[in-house]
Amino acid sequence: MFTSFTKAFTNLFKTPQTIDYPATPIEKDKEHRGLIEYGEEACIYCLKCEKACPPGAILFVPVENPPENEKNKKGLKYHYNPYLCIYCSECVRACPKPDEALWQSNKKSQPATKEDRVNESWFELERLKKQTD
Amino acid sequence: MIETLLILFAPLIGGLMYGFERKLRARMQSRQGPPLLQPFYDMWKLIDKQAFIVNPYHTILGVMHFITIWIVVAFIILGQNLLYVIFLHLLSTIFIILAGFSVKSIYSHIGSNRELQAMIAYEPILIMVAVGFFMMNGSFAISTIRENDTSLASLFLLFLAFLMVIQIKLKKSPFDATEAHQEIVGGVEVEFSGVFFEFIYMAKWLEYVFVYLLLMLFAGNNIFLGIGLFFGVFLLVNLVDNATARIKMKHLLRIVLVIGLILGMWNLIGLSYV
Amino acid sequence: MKQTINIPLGSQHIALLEPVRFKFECENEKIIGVDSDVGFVHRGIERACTTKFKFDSIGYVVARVCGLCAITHSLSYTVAIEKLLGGEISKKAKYLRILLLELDRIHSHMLCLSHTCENAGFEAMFMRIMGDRELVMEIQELLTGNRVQFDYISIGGVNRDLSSTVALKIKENLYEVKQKVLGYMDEFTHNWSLSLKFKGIGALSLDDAYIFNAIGPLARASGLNIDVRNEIDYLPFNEVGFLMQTHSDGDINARNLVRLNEILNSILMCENIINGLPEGEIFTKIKGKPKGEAIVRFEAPRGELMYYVKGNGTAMLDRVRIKTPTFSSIPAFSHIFVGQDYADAPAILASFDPCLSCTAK
Repeated sequence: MFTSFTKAFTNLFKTPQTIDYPATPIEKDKEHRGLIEYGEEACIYCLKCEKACPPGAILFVPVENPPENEKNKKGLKYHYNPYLCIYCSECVRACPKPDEALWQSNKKSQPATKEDRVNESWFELERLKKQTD
Repeated sequence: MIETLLILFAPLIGGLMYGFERKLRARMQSRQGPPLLQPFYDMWKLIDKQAFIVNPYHTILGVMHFITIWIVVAFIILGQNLLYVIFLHLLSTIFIILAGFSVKSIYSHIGSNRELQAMIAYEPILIMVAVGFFMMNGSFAISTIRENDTSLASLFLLFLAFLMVIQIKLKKSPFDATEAHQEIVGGVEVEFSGVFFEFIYMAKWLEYVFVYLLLMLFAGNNIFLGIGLFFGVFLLVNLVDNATARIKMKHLLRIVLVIGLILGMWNLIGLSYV
Repeated sequence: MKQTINIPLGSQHIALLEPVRFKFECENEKIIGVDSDVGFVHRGIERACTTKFKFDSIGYVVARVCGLCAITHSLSYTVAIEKLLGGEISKKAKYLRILLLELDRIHSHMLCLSHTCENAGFEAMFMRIMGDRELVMEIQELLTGNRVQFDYISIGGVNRDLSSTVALKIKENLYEVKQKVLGYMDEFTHNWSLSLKFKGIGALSLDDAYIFNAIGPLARASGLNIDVRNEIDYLPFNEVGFLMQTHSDGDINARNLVRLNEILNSILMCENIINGLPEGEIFTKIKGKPKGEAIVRFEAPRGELMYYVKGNGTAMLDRVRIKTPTFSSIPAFSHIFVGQDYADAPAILASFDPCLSCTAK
């Protein structure tokens, strides 16, 4: 009992362990698993990342103005949902060019609001993909 | 004039004391703690909430508990009879116990049961403290006790017994089984809501003022000793709270009654032979 | 007039981490009957494993059954699939898997100890142990990239290697944790108010532990010598210094001491692994589709975890069955509560370390 007593007394003179987040920003380690980032010029549109993703957070959907790339035969565009992603980096491991076309950063995802229409826009993309498959 | 102001602002002073204590307790656990004015922010929030009235007796008894304890603090500041003050305080505790028994919630009943058992443990000690003051000062009136010299040295054993009563009244470990929020979810307070819970919350602040005013009576007319006692006991109560667990009701009764009665009786018998 | 009252420790309560409902029938705060109900967190994971996900992503799905023993679920499933596909993984991958398993055990036991103290009314100890647990969360983040959900194990090995800076930081933090745990042992045995709350309360005798099939630290605190790490051979526990910790009283104090001793043994095992890590690759590619049945058992921090996997040669599995440790301990719970005071019930419940997300998957 006396160790707890003295420890409670000496804690009064030390700084508390609490970090005032988000008023004080926290520096994340550079190996922290964060959002996935995409380099469009090096992509070869093999679609291996889409097959490997467990929750299905990467979709390649045909659109009217596809990005200019000679490997893009079917006019597809890359879409990524940071709110479905579980940051497991299976897609990075499945990609044939892991540091040029697809890599993992250490940023955290930002909260979304109702005006961003996160769920509705993603469901539209999924329906579009099912029609063209 | 100054006494009227003190009586009117007694809940606010109690609120500041309560807020400061939460910050002190958090620093002892190496946390940051809430802001100092947190009890008043809670008050604004509670007034906005919807109040459910379970049955009218329950609500009236809760409000009477708050009013009676404010009157108790007023009587101490005006310097009335000490024995009368202690019995009026007993009445305010009886009000909250009856309020706990008047609803059908099981947690409320168990909380009231435990309050009643705790009352059996500490009331004899408070009466012995009053008798001790009478033997030293010749009268029960608080104004006389405040003008005489300090009686701390001759009432020392009663002072030690009074420290145990402080732990029970302020609901701190190891003696806080009456409001064991991990077991009975708050006990008597669980059925109050909205602005009526605010009355119970303010009654808690006034308990702090009551207990510390009684403590400063031990200092007599020596103001510096009074302030020193206040800060010393404030720190000691919180240090013991952070160093012990909560013990069960039957152990509380045994420890507080046995040790309190023995210390009190020794002191009173010693005083009557000197 | 009724002689007994019914006190609910309801599905939402301050003392509970996860929802479970107990109804105690009491006579003046002494418990004479118990009625329990689990299943408030059911999410249908076993069904989702056979309809929505292919067999190579299920490792990530079952890790989310529980937050505290996530790595044990993921590891058991992966070892079952490796048995069906017939692959061999390198020795370095096996050692890294044991390292993460033991780090997970350390932080889960610290959480259980702090929760037991809070339910006994000692909030200062709760805050202290949680503050010290941050040391372990830091090294988990450096090693795997995340604090709670590791996603470290895939079919054929592990995902990341152990670099020398991370190894140094792990050794420093584990040394500090060891000093603090020795401080806790001193506090738990010599604080008089904690002994009133812990010693002699909630005891389970050796015969009862055998009859009611108790597992994990609960059984080891009563004197029963069972530990799955002694009985399996898919991971080399004996080479890294594993020792089984038992005690003979069976009350809450004995369970706390068994957990504290297990933390010290895990720290020793982690240090041995870092000092003696063999060379090799961390990942070997295994091809094929699973066909047949496999049963795998592992020691989660709470007891024995069993996985049954059945495949039929395609990418979708036929059946995945999970048996979690808390589910097997429920008969022992209900037996211990009878005869105790209601004021001790939250402390006894926390000393069992119930993980209800595992129970109602």
